[in-house]
Amino acid sequence: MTDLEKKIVAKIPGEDTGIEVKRSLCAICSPGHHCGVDCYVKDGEIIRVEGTEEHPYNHGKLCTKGSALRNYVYRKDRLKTPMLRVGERGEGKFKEISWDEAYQIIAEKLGKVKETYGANSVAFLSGYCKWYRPILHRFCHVFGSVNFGTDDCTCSASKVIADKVTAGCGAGPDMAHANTFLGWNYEGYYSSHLSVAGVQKLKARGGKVIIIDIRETPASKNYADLFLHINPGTDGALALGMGKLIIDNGWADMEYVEKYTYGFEQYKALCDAYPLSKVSEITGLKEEEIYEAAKLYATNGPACTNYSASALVHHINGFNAHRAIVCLSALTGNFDRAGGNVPNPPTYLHKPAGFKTREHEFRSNRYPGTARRIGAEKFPLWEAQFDETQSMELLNQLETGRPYPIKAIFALGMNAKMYPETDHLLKAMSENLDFFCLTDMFDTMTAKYADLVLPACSSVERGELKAYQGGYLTFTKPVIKPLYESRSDVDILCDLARIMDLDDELLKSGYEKCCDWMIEGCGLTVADLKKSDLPVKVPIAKWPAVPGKILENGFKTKTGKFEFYSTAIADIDPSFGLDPLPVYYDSLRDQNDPETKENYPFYLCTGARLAHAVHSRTHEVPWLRSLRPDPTCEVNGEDADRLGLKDGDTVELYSPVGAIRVKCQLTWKIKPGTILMLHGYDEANVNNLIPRNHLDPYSGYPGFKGMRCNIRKVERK
Amino acid sequence: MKYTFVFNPDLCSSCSSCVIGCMDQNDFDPESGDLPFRKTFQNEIELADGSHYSAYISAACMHCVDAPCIDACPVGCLSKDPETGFTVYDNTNCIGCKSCAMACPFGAPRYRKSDGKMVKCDGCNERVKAGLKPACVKACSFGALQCVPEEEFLAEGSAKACNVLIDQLGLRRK
Amino acid sequence: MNKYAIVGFGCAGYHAAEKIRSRDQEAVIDVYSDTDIGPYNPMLTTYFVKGSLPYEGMFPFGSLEECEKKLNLHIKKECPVTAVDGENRMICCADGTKEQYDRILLSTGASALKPPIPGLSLPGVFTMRTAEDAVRLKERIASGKLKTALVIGASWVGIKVVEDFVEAKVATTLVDGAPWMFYVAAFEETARRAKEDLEKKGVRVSLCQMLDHIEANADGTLTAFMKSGDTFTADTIGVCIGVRTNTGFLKDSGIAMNRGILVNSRMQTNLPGIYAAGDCVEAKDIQSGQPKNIGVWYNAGRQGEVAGENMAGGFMEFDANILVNLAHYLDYDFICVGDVSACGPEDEYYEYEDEKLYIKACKNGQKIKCINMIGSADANGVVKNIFIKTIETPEAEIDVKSVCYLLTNGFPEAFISFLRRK
Repeated sequence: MTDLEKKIVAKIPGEDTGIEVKRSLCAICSPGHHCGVDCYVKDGEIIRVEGTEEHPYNHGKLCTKGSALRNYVYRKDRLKTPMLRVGERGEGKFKEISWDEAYQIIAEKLGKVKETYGANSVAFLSGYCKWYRPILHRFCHVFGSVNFGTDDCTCSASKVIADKVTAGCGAGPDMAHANTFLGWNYEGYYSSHLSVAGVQKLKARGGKVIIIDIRETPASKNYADLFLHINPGTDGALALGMGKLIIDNGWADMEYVEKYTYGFEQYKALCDAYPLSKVSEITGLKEEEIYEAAKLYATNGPACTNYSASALVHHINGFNAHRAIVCLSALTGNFDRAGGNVPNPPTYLHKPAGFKTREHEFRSNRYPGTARRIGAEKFPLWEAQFDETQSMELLNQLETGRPYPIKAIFALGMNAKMYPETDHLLKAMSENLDFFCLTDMFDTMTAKYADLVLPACSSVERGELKAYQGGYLTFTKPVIKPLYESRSDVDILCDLARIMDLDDELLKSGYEKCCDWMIEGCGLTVADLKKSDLPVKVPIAKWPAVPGKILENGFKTKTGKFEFYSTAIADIDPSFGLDPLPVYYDSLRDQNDPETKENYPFYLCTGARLAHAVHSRTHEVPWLRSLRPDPTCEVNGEDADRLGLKDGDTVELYSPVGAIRVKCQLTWKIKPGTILMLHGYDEANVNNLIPRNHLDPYSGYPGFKGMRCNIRKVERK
Repeated sequence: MKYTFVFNPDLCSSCSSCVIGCMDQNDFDPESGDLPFRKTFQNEIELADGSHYSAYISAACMHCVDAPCIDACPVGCLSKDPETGFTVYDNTNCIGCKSCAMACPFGAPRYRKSDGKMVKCDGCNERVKAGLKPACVKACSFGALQCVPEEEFLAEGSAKACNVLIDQLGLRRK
Repeated sequence: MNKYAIVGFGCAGYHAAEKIRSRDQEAVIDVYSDTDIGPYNPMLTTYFVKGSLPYEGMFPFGSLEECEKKLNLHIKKECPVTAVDGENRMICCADGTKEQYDRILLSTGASALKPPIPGLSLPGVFTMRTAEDAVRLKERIASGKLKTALVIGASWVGIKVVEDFVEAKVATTLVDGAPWMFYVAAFEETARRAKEDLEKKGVRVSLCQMLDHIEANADGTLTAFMKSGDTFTADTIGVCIGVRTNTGFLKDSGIAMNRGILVNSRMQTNLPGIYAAGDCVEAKDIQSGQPKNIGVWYNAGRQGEVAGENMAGGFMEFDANILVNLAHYLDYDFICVGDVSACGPEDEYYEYEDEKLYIKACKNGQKIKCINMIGSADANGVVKNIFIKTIETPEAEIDVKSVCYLLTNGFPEAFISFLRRK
């Protein structure tokens, strides 16, 4: 081989090799991240991807999933053209049609449902990727429907609402100034790779780390000074018990409590019901461990807490558990203080960047308000606090047609596998919808049920607006042309706005104009942003967030204080039984009758993160799939011995509503009685085991991470 | 400048970014049945007292200074790159005899079924020569896997070298 | 200025020359070779026959001239050494010349064993060791005239010759005098599996067959008459029953010998200034502590290096001498680590089999004696290394990484426990 040939094989960028480095972002996971990527492009094709060193967010780092971006973009199951169903729903038989035909069909079908049943009978739903949501949200409202819904109804919104009704807003850990890091459910290696450096730095300067988790993890091994291996679903009890210890031992910051909080006496009374011995029994932790953790957290100077987006709130007692944990921050005077947890409101699409955009106005200033959204009647706190559907009620509403029928779904990235009782949902959609249009990158299980399928392109094939921590904004440029006939989601929406002649000049003017409208006043325009390959510092951005502003100006709650006793919850009709205090109850309380207990003795926790997976988005990425080829549940070694299970055995996991077959892996990282199972597999969709009514009454969130099940070995034939 | 791969198991989570980086660099096709050059290991190893040690390890060719595979190869495929010090190869004459695999204490060389030849990690030799990091190192977000100039490595002491990653069981428990 | 002689220029001789030259730029290095071709690898002969390697590929260090130039040597081509005067470090050649040296390396290698059995010199009866042997067999196979072949000796060479024939679609019979194949390395159970596999691939295997003599037939075929009374007729017969060290010329040299030249860990013989390395020596086997002739390419190279380093004034030891055998043929992998003959009924055995892997291993207390594995391929080095470690530091645990590697590559936990000697 010549030297040049060697360089080409090794993909060395340069004029001689014809390999160009072009910049974009990875949008495989949640928009709370989205790292900058360098795409090595040769002859219009990406041949390698790595993190952009100069990117102000990820500084060259990519996680496992992002490292596989090329393999994700070129997945074999990419949708190629618009397709019209020709077989039965679910059969997956389609014929290719043109974009023009597709747009006409959509305009006609949605128009017909609107005419027959009213605009609210069309639900506009979104799964991943989330980047186009402001456009779809506005589109939904302009079309005339109140029913915009996303996977926020099972993602992190429960935490967001819990924060809101307690402290008026959420607050992130101020790692740089903390002496102690309380890593509640913290496993940055798997789900937040950029956060690990912060923990490493804190440790390096002598800081202490407490990790509370139901499984031993690399983070607990590598960083925890104290690791509390807690019984699943009992975090709320632990938080209340820690509260009691902090109060009883005089470790509370009473000056802070008196000045800035509301409802302390009621909270104290609640905590009093959780003496150490009781908490130890509930949580499975030793009394000394709990004491040491509470003491370290409360007495070692500034302490910040990791609030996991969904690990806790995926228990039916999770909303309150999260509130109880947040309360510890106020109790110890760490909320809105340096080294504690500091509020930092999002600028655009979940990302805080130190300035305001008009995203919320863009989404909501055309809200029709003509009916109550899906789920509103069952989950009044959700409805009061969050301007989307609580789609856990979608299945019931489809089946019963009450309070009004849902007859069409126009969805982008909708993933039925993220709903409990997936198969029942798909069946109900098949039987009750007049029209189901789905836009997606891939030929998914849900796509097979659609009447019309539209191919979307990936993040590297489009331009998009994105804010970043540090006061940055960017508008990316495509690094390759959209594959096949795929189009950018937002272009599809704006095209449709024109074709359907919606009453909104903004949407009709296209995505970039919409972005300009949202960012107006920040000192930059889309045209400015497009001049740079990297995020641009926004002139008006104030970064970093300065602690103490809320303490100075008041909390955004009704009382203007941090509410141990939530007035927002107190306002909800008492017949729903929602307690203004963060009370603890059993995470399986709806499944604890003797019969169910006996038949389903295991605690099933689904979706505990692993580094290579996020929902179902990476299961079909060959490189990532090769890291764990088979859907696999993790079973405690002692349980496995008792049941005669060995590594690699095929087992059936089953609940009262469903069963799946998976491989079994023995582990000693979880406690006996617990089973972990990753969700999102077509061939082993564990969400079919979760009953539709196993929900947290505060948020409507399903108990994905706390649910009864059983396991049995499947004999090979 | 010669380089040494340095792996610190106390920073590793077996997240396998390094493996994916290697796959991307080397156009890995899982359907071929081959294995990537870099592998991660995540095992729970039973200790004498019945408890379990959780291992998180990333491993590929260690680019041993005194690489036994080089001497073991009967046709002389393997050699040291004089510039980087990596153990590189030209498998034109490879006969697939697996002598290198037999010599390697780390299981680094792999027999490729499709053409019956041996392949292995070459340390991303060309990338390093071009001033880039090896693909696996570039993909590691946690500082667990690094590739440092030999002088720097020697100056820091060899305690964390890949090829002294010979942790005795039970001694590493915290 | 130091004067060095290297007698025999194979793998060991070459490595020694390289080492000496790297330490001593001034040295005079005389190399005595009984051929006019460069150092080659006997193991490659069958690969050349099969076509997986060009002729030049058998010479990994290049031609004699290239070596001469690269290392600045004086090569005495086709100059067999007939005797060594050990006391005076004097080398005597067939042409009568004598030369004295400061240091001498004996690296004459080994030859295919050809016992005095009638018929072994008949045309069509061949051995497989030298480049010449390989060229001859390749030509015969290429001629297309061979329809049947008999290979005598289920040895490491024998099995590769069988592979050559099978790949050339020549009907092949393999016979061996021992009760099972790979007798010096395999447990009976391992050998049975290897035999069944071979038979599945169309090779006829007959064991307990001692050769009596070979006769040529009128139709040009050959018949091997066995001591059992059985006969095997084929177009060609390969005799692959082992090798013998090339040490005959040292008879009166005063150098201590067993079946091979005895050396210490620095590759020194009993006489000062005289070293030996490669297939002609018996170095200390670390498992038994006894001298053993373990003729593998890797050992030859390392021993050559060690000898060269020490001859040129350095200090280096060879410490990795253990019995290791690797047979890779017809998509089949069999390895043996350790000494199967040291295993007895009093020992503890481990056995495992699944679709891909077969393992049989033997230990006594903390001491692992022998491991046989079929289908373990890429993991062979890891297991071999563990075995060596258990000999070097019997009290030490296996390193975490090796355990992980084996677990992840489908080795059963019980095998790892066996290796961990818990």
